[in-house]
Order: sequence, then C-alpha cells, then structure tokens
Amino acid sequence: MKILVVDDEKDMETLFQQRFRKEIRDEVVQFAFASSGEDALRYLAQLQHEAVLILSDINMPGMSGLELLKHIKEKYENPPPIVMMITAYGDTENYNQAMKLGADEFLTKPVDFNLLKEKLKLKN
Amino acid sequence: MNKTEASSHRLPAIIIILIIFSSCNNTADTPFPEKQLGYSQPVTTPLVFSVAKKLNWDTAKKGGITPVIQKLDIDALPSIPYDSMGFRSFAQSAQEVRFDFNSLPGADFNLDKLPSKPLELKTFVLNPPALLKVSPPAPQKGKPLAIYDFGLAQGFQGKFIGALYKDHNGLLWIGGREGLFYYDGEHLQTFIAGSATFPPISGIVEDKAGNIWFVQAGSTNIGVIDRHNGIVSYSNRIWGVKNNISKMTLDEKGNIWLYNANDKSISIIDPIVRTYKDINNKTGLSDSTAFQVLEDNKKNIWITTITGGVDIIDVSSGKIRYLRKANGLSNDTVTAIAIDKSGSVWLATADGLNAIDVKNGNIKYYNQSQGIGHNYTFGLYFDDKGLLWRTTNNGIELTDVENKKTKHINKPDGLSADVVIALSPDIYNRIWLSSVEGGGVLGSTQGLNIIDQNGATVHPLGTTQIISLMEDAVSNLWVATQKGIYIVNPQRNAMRLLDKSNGLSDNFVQSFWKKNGNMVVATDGGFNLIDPVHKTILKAGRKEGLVSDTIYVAFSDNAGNIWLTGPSNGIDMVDSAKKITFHTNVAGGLNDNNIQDVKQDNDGSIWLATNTNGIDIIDPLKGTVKYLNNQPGLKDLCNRMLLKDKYGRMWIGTDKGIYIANTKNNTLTNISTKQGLANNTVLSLLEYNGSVVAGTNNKVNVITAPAPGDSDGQWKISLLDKSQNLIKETSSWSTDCITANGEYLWGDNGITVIHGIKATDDSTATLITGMNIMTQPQYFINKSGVGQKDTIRTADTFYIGKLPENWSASGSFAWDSVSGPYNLPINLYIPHNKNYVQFQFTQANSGRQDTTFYSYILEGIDKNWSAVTTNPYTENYLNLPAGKYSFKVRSKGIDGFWGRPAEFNFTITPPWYQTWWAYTIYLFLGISILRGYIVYRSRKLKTENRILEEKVAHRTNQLKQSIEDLKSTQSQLIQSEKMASLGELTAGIAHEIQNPLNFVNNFSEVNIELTDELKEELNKSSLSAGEKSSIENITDDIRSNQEKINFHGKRADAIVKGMLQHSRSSNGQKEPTNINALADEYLRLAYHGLRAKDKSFNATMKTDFDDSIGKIKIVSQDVGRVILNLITNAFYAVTEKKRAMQATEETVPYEPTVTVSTKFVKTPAGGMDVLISVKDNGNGVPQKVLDKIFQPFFTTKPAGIGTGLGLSLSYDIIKAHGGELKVKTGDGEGAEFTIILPG
Repeated sequence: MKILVVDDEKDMETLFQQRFRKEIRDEVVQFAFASSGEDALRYLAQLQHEAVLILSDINMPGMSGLELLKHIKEKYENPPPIVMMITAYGDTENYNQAMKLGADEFLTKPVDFNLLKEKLKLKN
Repeated sequence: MNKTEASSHRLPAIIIILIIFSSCNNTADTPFPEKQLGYSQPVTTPLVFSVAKKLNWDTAKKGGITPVIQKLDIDALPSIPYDSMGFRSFAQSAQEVRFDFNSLPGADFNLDKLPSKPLELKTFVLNPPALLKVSPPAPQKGKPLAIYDFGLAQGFQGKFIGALYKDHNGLLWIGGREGLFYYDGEHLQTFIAGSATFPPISGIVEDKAGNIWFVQAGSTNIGVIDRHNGIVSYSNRIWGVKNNISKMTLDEKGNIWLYNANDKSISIIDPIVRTYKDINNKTGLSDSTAFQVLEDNKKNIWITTITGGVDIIDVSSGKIRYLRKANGLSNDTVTAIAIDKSGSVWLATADGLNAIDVKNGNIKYYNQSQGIGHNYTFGLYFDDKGLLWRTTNNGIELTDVENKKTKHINKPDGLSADVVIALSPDIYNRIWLSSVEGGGVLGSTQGLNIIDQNGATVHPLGTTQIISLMEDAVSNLWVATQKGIYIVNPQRNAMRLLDKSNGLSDNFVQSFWKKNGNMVVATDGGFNLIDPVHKTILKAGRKEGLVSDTIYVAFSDNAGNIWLTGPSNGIDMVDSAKKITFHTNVAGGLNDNNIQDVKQDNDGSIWLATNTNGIDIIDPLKGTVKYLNNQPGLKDLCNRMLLKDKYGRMWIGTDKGIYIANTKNNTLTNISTKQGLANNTVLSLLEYNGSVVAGTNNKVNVITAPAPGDSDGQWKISLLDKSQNLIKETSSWSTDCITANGEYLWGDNGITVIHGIKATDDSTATLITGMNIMTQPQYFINKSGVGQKDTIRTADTFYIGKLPENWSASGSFAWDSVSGPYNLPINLYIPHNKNYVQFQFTQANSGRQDTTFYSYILEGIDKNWSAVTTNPYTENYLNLPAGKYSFKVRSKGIDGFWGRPAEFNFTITPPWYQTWWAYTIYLFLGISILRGYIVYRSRKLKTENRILEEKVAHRTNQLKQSIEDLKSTQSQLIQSEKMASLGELTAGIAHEIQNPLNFVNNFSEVNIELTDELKEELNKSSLSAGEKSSIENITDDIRSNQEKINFHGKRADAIVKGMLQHSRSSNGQKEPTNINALADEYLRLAYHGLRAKDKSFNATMKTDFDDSIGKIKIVSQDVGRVILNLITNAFYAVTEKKRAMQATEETVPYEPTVTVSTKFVKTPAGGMDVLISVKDNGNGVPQKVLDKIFQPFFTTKPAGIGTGLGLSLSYDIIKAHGGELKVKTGDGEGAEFTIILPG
C-alpha cells in the first residue's frame, strides 16, 4: 500500500518511517512524502494511481490541506484515493469543511499512530 | 418647622392684598368723544361736470340798449317815521329834585329788640312731586316782538299764576291757583296740586337753606317746602285776616320779609328758627298799608306804603326814616320798588316812577311827560341789560332809562292779558310773565307769556310783505316790497320810500345786488342801477332794449356786465360798456330756461341756478357751457340759492339740503338733516364771519365748514342763536340779510333782527332728574331731616319725629342726604339684589330747544359715552355688579356744543358674602383653615419624614447592595471578558503546541520501542554478560527517560486538549434532557471514576432532585461535563479535607459529603429557572482566590493533578446555555456551586 504523507514538517517523514519501520520493512506500506500541497499534486500527477492513501496536514504554507483535498477529490474521480486529514486544528469548522470536501478520515495531532494503524487496517 | 411658620404669616398678607385689588373699581374719567356731535359728517363725492360745449348767443335777440339815467337823491325823499323797536323816546328829560337822606324825618328802630313769635308750623308729608313732560314755549307769529306762550297747548294747566320765581338752580317755580310747579325746560314737577278753591300762591321765595316759602292769597297760609326732607309745613299764625296779593323778599341775612296788602304790618320770618316778628305803625312804620320790601346796597330796608310814601329802615344807625312827598317824592302812593345797577332805588308811584339816588341826593320823576303811563304798578324789575320792566294793570311798560325811551307791551303785542301780576327772568334772562283778565286778582289767563328781549327784536312794517332785504354801504337797509323800496335808516328811526314815482322802474321789487357801492335792483319793469354817490338811477327795461321786463335777479359780474334772469327767459347779459344785450336759452345750450340765480365763481365762470335742471356754468371767455346736475338733489333748486363763500366754494340751496361745490378740490359735499340741517328745504344762504347762515323751511342754521383742504376738519352745523322760532315758510320770500354790524335780519310782515350772529351758548346745564331702581321710580328725601318731636301729618293720620314707613325709597337703599332740585341722594347705596338702574335727565334750557341731544355714561360699567340720543333717559342698566359708579350725562346746547356733564355717584353694595366683613371672616376662616392645614400638614410631614427616612435607609441598603452586586457583576464581566480573550489566545497557542507535542509523544514512544528492540538485539549479540548488563542498564535508563518524556508529553497534550475545549464551539445539539437523570448519572460516573483511581476514596453522596422540572433543552454532553467537573471538584475537596484531618489527627468526626440537588424556581421576570447545585462540606474556597476560580489554568490542586481549566470550561458552557454558574462558600465551610439554567 502506497501512502503519500503531505506535511510541511520535515520531521514527519522521519516519524512516519520510524513508526512504520516494521511495516516498511515488511513492505506492507510504502511511504512517499510531500512537503506541500503543490508537491503532493505534482507527485500525484507523475505517479498516478500509485498512492492509494493520502495523509495530509491542513495548515500548510501555500496550498492548504483542504485545497489539496478539494483538488484530489475533483481530479481523481475514478477511483478517488483515500484522503485522511491529520491536523493540529481539530476544531469543528475544519472538521466540517474537510468532511464536506470528501475527506475520508479526520485525525488530530499529536497523531495516535496506534489509532492510525487501526484506521489503515495495518493493526490486527 | 420654622419654614412653615414663616409661610403662615405670608399668606394672610397675600389674601389682604388680593382683597384690596379685587375691591378696586376703576372709575377713571372716560373722555367725551369730542367729534361726537350727534350728527354724521356730510357726504363728499367727486365734483363731476358735463363736458363743456359751445354756448351760442341768440343773435336775433342781440341788440343795443339805451338805458335811461335820471337824477335820484335818496336823502331828498320824504322821511317817514319808522318805529324800529317800538320804543318812543322820552318827550322830555325827567324832572330832578334834591333830597337829603340823612335829614329825612325818622324814629329809633331796633329790629333785634322786637319780640320773636313762633310760627307754629304744622308739618305734612310732601307727596313725591309728579313729573309731567311739557312742550317748550311756543312762539307767537306775526308779533312785533319775540313772545312765546306757555299754557295748555304746551301741557301746562296753570291759568291763574300769582308768582314766578327763579331759584338758585336757575329753574323756575310757578305758583298759582293750580298749585306749585317746578319747571326745568322739559318737565313740570307738581309739588302742590291746586284746585278751584285753592288759595292761589301769590309769592315765592327761596331761603338760604334752599327751602321754598310761599304765601297763598286769600288765606292766612304761609307754607314752606322742604323737598330734601320730603315735608311741607304751614303756618297761619302771622295774619289775623286773609292776605291780599302778598309778596315775599329775602334780605341779605336770610330773613324773609312779607307784606299783606290787607293790613298795615310787615312780618319778618327767621326761616332757620322758624319764628317771626311783626313791624307796624306801633313799632315805627308809617300808618299805612305796607307793600313791597327792598334791601338796598347799604342793607337799608325800603318798605313801600299805600299812603305813606316809603319807610326806610336804616339798620346801621338803628333808625327808621320816612321819605314822603314832603321830602321829595312825587307821590305818597308807592306800590312797587326796584334797584338799578347804579344803586338807585326806583319806586312806582301813582303818578309814575321816582328814581332815588341816595348817594347824590336826588330824585328823578318819570311820568307822562316822559311817556311813562300812570297805571297801577304791580312790580318793577331791572333786567340784565338795565331795561326796567314795569308790570301794571295795563300791560307792561319797558323803559330804557339810559337811552331815554320807553315802550308798552299789551295784549295786541302778544300778552295773554293786560293785568300783569307776576314776572321772573329765567336763566337766559327771558322774562316770564303772568297776566290776568279784567283787573281782578282772581281773573283768568291762558297760561304764561315769555318775552325774549335778548333775541329777536322786530321792526314792524305793518302788513307789508317784504320780498328782499339788503344793507347798503352806509348801513341803510333796503327793503324790497310790492310798493317799492323802503330805505330804512335805523339810526334815525326814519325811512324813505323809493317807488315808481321817484324813478324806480316798477314798484314790484324782486331783488337787490350790491356792486361797488351801487345797488342793482331787479324789478318787474326791468332793472335799475342806483348810484347813491352820484345820485343817479339807471333804468333799463324792454323799452330800453331788454328782452323782458320782469327781472328776478340782476347780477353784476367782475367785468361790469349785468346778467339778468326772468320768467322762462333764459339769461340776458348786458354789456354795460358797449351797451349791447345778449340773450341765450335752451336753444343756445342752456339746460333750462328758468334761471333762478346768478353768481360768479373765482375762476370767472358764471353759475346759473336753473329751476329744475341743476346748475349751468358759463365760461364767458371760452364761450362754453357745462352742467352740474349729476346729483338728484341738484335738480330741485330753491329760489336765489347760490352763494360763493370766501374760499370760492359755491353753495347751492336745494330741496335736498345744501350742496357745496369746491372747484379747486373737485369735491361736492351735501348737507342735509342727517348732518343737523334744521330742514332740507333751504331758503337762504348768507355768509358771515367764516360761517354760512342758512335759512331753511324750519329755523336758521349756522354752518361752519372746515377750510378747503382740511380733510380731517369737522363740519359744525348748529342753530343760529335766538333764531329757533323764526320759522320761514316756503311760500314766503327768501328775505334775509346780514348787516355789517352782524345783525341777522329776517323779513316777513316786518323785519326781525337777531342781534349778534353766533352759535355759542355754553350755559346749558344738564340735570339728572331721577332714577328708577328695579324699574320703579324712586323718591329720595333726607332720612333724618325731621326733628324728633315734630309731628308729621298726612290726610288721615300723623307721625311723631318721622315720616310714614316706606314714604321715600324703600329701606333697603341707604343714602346720607339728598341734594339738588330733584332730591338726588348723596352716597346712595343700592343693594346688590336691586341692581337694575335707569336714569332720567333733562336739559335746563327753559324750553328753548324742542329736540335735545344727550349722551351719557355710567362709569364703572360703560367703557364709552353712549350714542347720542334724544331720549331723556338711559337704557335700563341690568345686573350691575357691586362697585362704585358714576353716572354722567351731558346734553348738546342749542349752539351745537356739548355742555358740562351732570354727575351722580352711587354704589351697588355687594351681597353679604362679598362685603369687607365677609372678607374678614373669609380671611380668618382662611387663616384658621390654613393654620389647621399647616398643623395637620406638619404632623403628616413628620410622619412622612420618618417613613421617608426609613425608606431612604432601606433604599440606601438596597443601593449598597446593588452597588455591590454591580461591582461583582462588573468584576465578573471583566472576568468573562478576560476569559474570552484568554480562550481565543489559548486556542491558537494550543494548536501550535500540538505540532511539537506530536513529535515529542511519538518519538518518545518510538524510542521506547527502539530501546526494547535494542535490548533484543543486545541479547542476540556476542557481548559479555557484564557488557550486556551495563548496556542493558543504560538502555533501561534511556527507556525510562523516554517513558517520562512520553508521560509529560501526554500531560501537555491533555492540557492543550482542555484548553481547546474553550474555543471549541459545541457541535452538540440541544435536546430535551432530564436534568435529574443527567445529574444522577454523572454523580455516579464521577464517584466510580474516582473509586477506580483511588480505592481509599469514600464519600457520602446525597441527592435532592425536584421532580417537577421535567425535561429542558440543553446540550447534555456539555452540561454533563460541567456537572461531572463540579462533582469531581467536590469529591476532591472533601477528600482533601479528610486527608488533612487525618494528617493532623483531628478527632472531630468528619463525614465527607457531596450533595447534588436540583430545583425548579420562578424567576423575578416570571419565567422558570432550573437550579443544579453541587454542595460539599470540604474546606471551601478561600476568599482571596474566589475571584480567580473561573479563570483558566487556576487550580488549587497540586501540579499534575488538575489542568485548572475545569471551572473555566464549565463557566463557558453554562454561559453558552444562557445560564449562570455561581459559587457560595465560606472559608472552611464547604462550597456550593450552583448552575442556573433557564427552564
């Protein structure tokens, strides 16, 4: 399973690689990282259909996570990739907007990786 | 208290001031409207002529004239005696003899020593005099003097009048057989009613007190009328025999002298003490019947006697002197006496008159030698002009002593009878006379005669009809008749007749015109021009070249042309210089062939008065004619009725009054009866002294027009003084003229001369004659005028010391006394319920005016003088309010001037409740009420003050409370503001902190995993056990550290999450929730939650739920969180207390208890609130931290136990529900948190 993580925090890459080291080692998941919404779109444009899951932050410089979500859900209709929003701003407004735009999941920071793995059905 | 006392003194003062003001009645003088003349002002319209057109002269009748000029010397005409006034000059001068007053024989005489005897008057009530309206005296026509009748025709019943007397009011007392009357000019008051058997009153005199004394001939009665006291008294003590025609005289001391022709005594009455003295031959009088008495300038009393000449009481020397024939008198029979202006005493003797000049010591005899008759003399009287009136048994002899002439007035001259027994002047010095037939004292007359010697005098010319009058340059009077011209020289009492035989064209003389000293005469035989200086007469008639012989008017214009009018003849003009006549008529452009008069205006135009077609105006220079006939009145012109006044205005006499044409201002003014013209038919127009004298069909007017251009000026139209009885008839000729001396001459069957043309006579007084109250005439007399012991009689009974009840005005009126001829009350008070008042009045004109105009005002109610009225009474004043009144009335004199007003003051008294004493009572009542009110009020005020103080204290407390409430609210507000901002801040911070926390927590967790993996790897390695052990120990330390980092990271995350709850707007929906169940659920949740953490935890839970609450709409999750938070705090508090107590080994039993209760309460606004209370018995919240407990991050728990956000969050949730979170606590007494939610 290929997961694209979109976050402006560079440490997120390390955190995800360490947190999913076993799954990466076992090649259950593959991670790709984008540091902005634009990067994510570029990545998606190059490797269409590679990412089946997109984890995106919302508060990012440039294109926000919600815009990214909007683009993805508009552009990749068939079948649209699963987009999970992971944000520190777990307020109602963000939640409602994300859901309206078609986010498949809404998680708040700090990321509970056990919960995330559950959602990704990586944990049995 | 001091304040109320002060105001209780001030208020009465205000009341008094109000009373003073309200009782003030403004009776200030209202000025009489000076322009109010009783008539309206004339109507002035624009003067409009017809368009001028060419006047054509009748060339056929143009012709030369050859007038005849003859010699005429008027002075050479035979002189005819002319009786100008009826006077005859004395045939010779009076004989004069010397006498010496002081050497006259005499005897001692002392009046004071003579005994006084009481009059013993019997007093009777005087019936209120009946008021009778009478007509003014009527002039006799065709008599050679101005003589009037006053008798039955005028409403006066008197036939035998024995006494006439003018009193100090100027009004006339008339006494006779018919009784005693009082005459004011309009009314007769009957004081004593006579009868056929009534002894006629023969003498009247007024004493100084105003009482009227009278004697009755043929009786022994002496009466005195005291009209102010309403009584009449009689005495018959004086004479033993019935008196003859007695007369009475008042001397200077006020004593009354009276004689009785039937005895030889004289009686002297003291009218004050009511006694009398007799003097007769025994006390020094001549032994003869004593007659009249006179007091001379030296206060000597002269007594005439029948056979003893005259006795003179020389008061100063205490002597009586006898002046008889022996001492110089012409005759010893002396019947009458008078004194002239110079002080000479005149005696009527049997042979004539003796004038005694005591000072110069001479006596003059007047007898037949002078033309003085020797008839029996009843009386002598000098009038205001010095003429001596002698009343005799054969008429009146009027003697002008100064001018030495005398005349007789007898029955043919207008006297009712020849025996003239009484005489009195009136206020106008007209002489009132009473005469009787047949020489007997009991004969009969037809009333009284009045001779007006001041007014017109008559030049008798027999029965000759006078057609025209003109005064020439030398004051000769030219009298046109049908027999020629009488040229009268009044100075010489001579006249000459100029007729056809002397050169006049015709004996029928139509009119005169005076020009440059010449007289232009119009006759039925042409015209004459008489030049008295050159002693010529010019004659021109048909024979001499005129169109017609009969000339009505001959007028000489400024160019010397003579304009002639005749019957239906148009107009002729004679150019005197060229000796040519011109003629024109309707054919030539005139309006009418009958021309009545010709005059020339200041522009040189000739005004022709036509018969029925107005005025034709000829401009001789332009040869044009225009008409003035646009007014209906202008078509009815009267004979010879054009006058040019000194301003050049043309006056036109018509049947519709007078038109005045002003060609300068182009105005036409009409004067008619509306403006005061006596009659609309104007018979003559003359100018004198700036006024126009207009004879009308009834009386003569004097019209004073305002100067031209004086638009505000008033036209004043009045009667010519003394002319009121000159009545012209339309049938008579317009025959008047005014002489250079200012005499108005009026021709009829003789010439009546009015001396002095004036319209001024301001002596006309107005009298208030009485008043009606409540429509009843009132009779006032003095209330206390009768002596206490006096007996007052009526026909059938008598009264002592008083008059009969209700004899005078009823007792509800009050007055001090009465005054004046009409007993007007002084200081009359009329009660308020009799406040209907009407006044009557009269003008004291002695009947000279037949229409009198009055204007009156009742000051106190009327704002203005009344409209001019001819009624001699006022309107009925109804419902007069209480107050002082002043009634004033004035009348317009015969001259057209308003006289001084008569005034009468009275008071309408207010009803008792408006009197001063009522006001005093009101005042006291007011003060008492005020006092009572003040006392009551002050008591009440005190009580109210107390209540108020209590209220104030109460309110102050409330206020304090509210201030505190406000303060706490304010602090709470600030708090909530702070918290709100903090909430926003923390939200932002919290989110940002979550990012780093994400790494901290996750990396630490990963590290823990990594250390575990490290240990696994280590076990696989080949290191020694020691090395392994040491590495394992280090790894364990790292793991332990990572766990700590993770723990604290999680802690920070919990804090941040809590903080975010603040900013998180709840996404929970409000739904009906059972609050009791919610509270119960969370109570158990909290308890078990805590029990799970701490097994030692134990506390008592109490619940007190109000089942009436039902379900309320809330976000149950949020409110549950709040309840949970509060309960958790409560449990913590009680646990802490228990722990503390255990630590200090307190022995006091302590049961940790948490009570949760709900309550449904009514709010002050009417709604319902739900109260959820969580109460613990822990240590409570210290006061110093009470403000901070709702602030975020504030906590009393040890670090790491609480976030300090629980209460802050709870507060926000409850606020979001529109509710309140309150805390009640005391230090060590536990705390009670109450959630209040709107139900």
